[in-house]
Amino acid sequence: MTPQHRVAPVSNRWSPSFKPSARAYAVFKWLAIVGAVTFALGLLFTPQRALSSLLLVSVGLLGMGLGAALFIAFQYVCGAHWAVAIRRVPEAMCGILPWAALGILFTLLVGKSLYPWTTDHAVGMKGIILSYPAVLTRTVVFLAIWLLLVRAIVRRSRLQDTAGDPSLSVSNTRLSALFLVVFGLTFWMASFDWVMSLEPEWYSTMYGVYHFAGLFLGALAAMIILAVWLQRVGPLRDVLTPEHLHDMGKMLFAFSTFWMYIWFSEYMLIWYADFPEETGHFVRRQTGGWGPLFVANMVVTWLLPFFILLPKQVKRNPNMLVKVAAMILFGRWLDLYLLIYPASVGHESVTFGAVELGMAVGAPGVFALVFIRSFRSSAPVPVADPLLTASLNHHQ
Amino acid sequence: MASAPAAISGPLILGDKSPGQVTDDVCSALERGPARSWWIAIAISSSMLLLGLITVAYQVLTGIGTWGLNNTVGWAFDITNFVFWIGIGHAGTLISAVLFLFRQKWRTSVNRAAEAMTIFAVICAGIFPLIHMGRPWLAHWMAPYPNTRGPLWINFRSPLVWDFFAISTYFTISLMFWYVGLIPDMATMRDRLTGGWRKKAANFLSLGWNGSFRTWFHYETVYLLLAGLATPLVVSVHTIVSWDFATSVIPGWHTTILPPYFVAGAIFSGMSMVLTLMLIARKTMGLEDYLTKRHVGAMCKLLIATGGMVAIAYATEFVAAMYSNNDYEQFAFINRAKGPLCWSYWIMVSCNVLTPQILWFKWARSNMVVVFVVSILINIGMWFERFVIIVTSLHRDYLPSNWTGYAPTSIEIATLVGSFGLFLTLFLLFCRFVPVIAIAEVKGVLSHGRKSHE
Amino acid sequence: MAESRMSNANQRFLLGVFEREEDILAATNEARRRGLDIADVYTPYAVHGLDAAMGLRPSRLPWVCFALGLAGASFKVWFEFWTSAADWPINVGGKPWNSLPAFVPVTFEVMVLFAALSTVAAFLVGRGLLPGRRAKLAYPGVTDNQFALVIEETNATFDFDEVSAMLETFGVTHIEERVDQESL
Repeated sequence: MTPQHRVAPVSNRWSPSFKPSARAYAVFKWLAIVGAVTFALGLLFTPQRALSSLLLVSVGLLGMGLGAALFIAFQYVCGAHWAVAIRRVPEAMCGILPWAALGILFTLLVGKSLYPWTTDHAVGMKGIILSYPAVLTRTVVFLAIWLLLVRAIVRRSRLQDTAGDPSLSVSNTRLSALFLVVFGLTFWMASFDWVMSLEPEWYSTMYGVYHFAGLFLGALAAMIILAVWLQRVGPLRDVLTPEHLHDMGKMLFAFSTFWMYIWFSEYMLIWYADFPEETGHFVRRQTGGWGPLFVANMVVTWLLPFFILLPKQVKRNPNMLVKVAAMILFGRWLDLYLLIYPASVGHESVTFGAVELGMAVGAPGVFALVFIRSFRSSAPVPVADPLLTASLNHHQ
Repeated sequence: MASAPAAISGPLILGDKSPGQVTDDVCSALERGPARSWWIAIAISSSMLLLGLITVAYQVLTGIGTWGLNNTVGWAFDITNFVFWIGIGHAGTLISAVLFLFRQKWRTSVNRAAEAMTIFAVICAGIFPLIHMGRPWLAHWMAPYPNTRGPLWINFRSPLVWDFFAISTYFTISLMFWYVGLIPDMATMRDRLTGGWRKKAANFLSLGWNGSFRTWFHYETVYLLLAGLATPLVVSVHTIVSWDFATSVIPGWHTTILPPYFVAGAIFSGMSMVLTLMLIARKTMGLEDYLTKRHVGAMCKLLIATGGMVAIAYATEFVAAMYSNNDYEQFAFINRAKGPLCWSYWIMVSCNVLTPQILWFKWARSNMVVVFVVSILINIGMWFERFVIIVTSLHRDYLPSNWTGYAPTSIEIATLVGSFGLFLTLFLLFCRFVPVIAIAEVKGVLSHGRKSHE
Repeated sequence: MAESRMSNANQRFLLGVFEREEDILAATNEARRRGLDIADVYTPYAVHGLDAAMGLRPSRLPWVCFALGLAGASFKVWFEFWTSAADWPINVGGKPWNSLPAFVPVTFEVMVLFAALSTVAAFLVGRGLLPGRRAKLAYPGVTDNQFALVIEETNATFDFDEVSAMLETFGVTHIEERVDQESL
């Protein structure tokens, strides 16, 4: 280790004095209000669309929180130091988890109309797996375990700031390993329950992996945007370096390609085997006006990011990286829209209007408000983490 | 550098070596005459190889009716061995390319041997489809070239053609990656030896390498580019192997999770084979300072991770089959667990899912005997995984009147033994003639002669 | 390039030999700071940070890799389409003539093959690494444990003693002056 530190990790240097500008705050607040109002009005006039949109934003936001938690857990388990300095960003992103969990529970409790199997009961093994009590129980149990584990990890990380105890890193490494195991065992089933069962006759074993790929990619993109923003407005000014951006850019590149790989593997196998009961899923998303969106999803989530992110300089350039990340986040919305809407609202034509737009812009508003509150409640960097100095001085 | 700083986790290479000592340690092992144990080992492995050669000649001359295949089970032992060997190879590329991109410096001690293992495993794998063709002298028909048969082009829609391209590309790139890594070490050997055929060979293979940093600088770029290409390549290879099965309409084969599941399984099995060989090489060649418990520990953690992915895939497939409410899907999976070949299924589950869990404990990871036993069990379990996927999905198909069993003939078993003989013989020869540790790369991670080391 | 400059007869070079990585890094940095002309540095392994110390410009090999990879992929996708849909279309399993999803795997493999082979070939040819070529060692042991810094004496203002004294401060173990390319 280098004997002298580039910046001394003294706690008073990291006073949580960060406050976003009044204008930014107002924008987020109004976005959230627009989202809430459109949801309320939508629930009155077009409940199916409002509930589908609620499922969309809840799954999307839950993915942001879970992806951030996975990022933290991977870092602990690998003993990696490079991202320690910016760990408070994913930690604050986890703050959205309870709200997203509420959204999913609300959808399942109020939006039974989204799920054909709640009225037209399945028989046999499917009937056992897709019975309403079973799905609800799994949902509550999965969400509770994830929330508890993530909260425990974030709490220990923050406790370390004041306690300064390196053994908290050790116990967080254990908790992270546990979280990864639990996530791996449960998440795919949750994605079956909440989204795949919108089309109960269709199934694909890749579905959970596909959701994981999208979730982690989306969380990375959000993390990049938030980290660059926090660097500009203050708290991460002397913390985030082009080296950190370079590594996150590489991860964004890699996971965008991973998402495309999973997408293609699922699509190609179903295209190739040509079972009518399987191909329906894709036929519904390529006809009735959905075709261009189906192609656009691949273009914005992989094709453009892939070629833009290939040069090294782009991955180190905050302006470019933020633009690509924003494009990927749009792709993330489009991806979930394509998964949910043709199934729950109708595949004969594309349905998009005030409800969808209002809730699509409302979700980032809610997310930003929760994020800011959570980020402000702790020091902007994990000041007492034993790996902080190495992370601040991180180079390739 | 993605790993923890040295101040926390200790040095990668023990004994505070200098670059000169590294050269001595690795090269002197080659310059000494082979130990008795080496002669014993090569005698055994070349006998196995000889057995394989004889049986392969017999199969080619007689025909593949010498196998235990039947109308229902048209693919069994040979394709199991093919997938098994290809999987073994994947860990080498993971270590040389993926861990390089992740800047995992511990890889430098193992990458040379692991890459060699990749090349030998791919050679072993390639033999099986070649024999299965029945007329291996027409193997060049797999390549698309203008011919007098039309020209009749190969069918690019066939997963078997994809496989041909994947395996041949993979072999070419692995060999090249390995050789590029060897060039500086060949120069080191050349400048160290005073004469003899070894010096001549090293002189030829080192391409006039003189340690110029201007060359090193481009070399590093090439290495990074090759790693960037080999990473998606290794994923594509086992993905395409999985598509041999998953594009079909056979319950148990046609399942969309197969690509990532096969890739994870390949790395799982390959990593266990790396561990098996490393633990032997470490002991017999006196390389304890280079292959430390830290290296073994890191590989054990990769085993837990990839083993976990495989276990999740087993669970997903089973639940999705139940969820499907499709009689054939459900039967395929129940038949695996309760049918006449259920013993192979339970070997697979106990070796691949249960065994690696012991590696969660630190005492197990640092006990070389435990790790060795676990690695052997995983090798066995992963062989049976392919057997389960291939044979149990076929032997009871859509029509109960077609139902049959399958048992390998002595010829098939002898061929498998022969492939192990080939693999071990090549590996033993490699240990004698090529620096088993990437000298130049290890020198780059020493703490000697540095003010700061990450 | 260093080689072309070194081939000028009557060029004089100063060779300084070091035994530790940190010394060669510091000496190279200092030589560059003083505006000396660094012909090359010879090291037993790729020393991290030496490229910055020597002020080397990024390698152009990634462009070779990208261009040839793209060319290989384009060629292959055209070839698959031509053989399967144009030259001799054969119905296999009812798949369409243009089975684009099925053409992706082989296209990918060929892209990797083209990109990797061309990158390595460009590197070997560009750096003059060819089978059987006799290596010219700057100093014995540069492929083992010695680090050699070679500075070109560009003009009359080059002060041998001053540069030697500078190298001494970084623990140089051996200094010599060489004339023309034969000695390198």
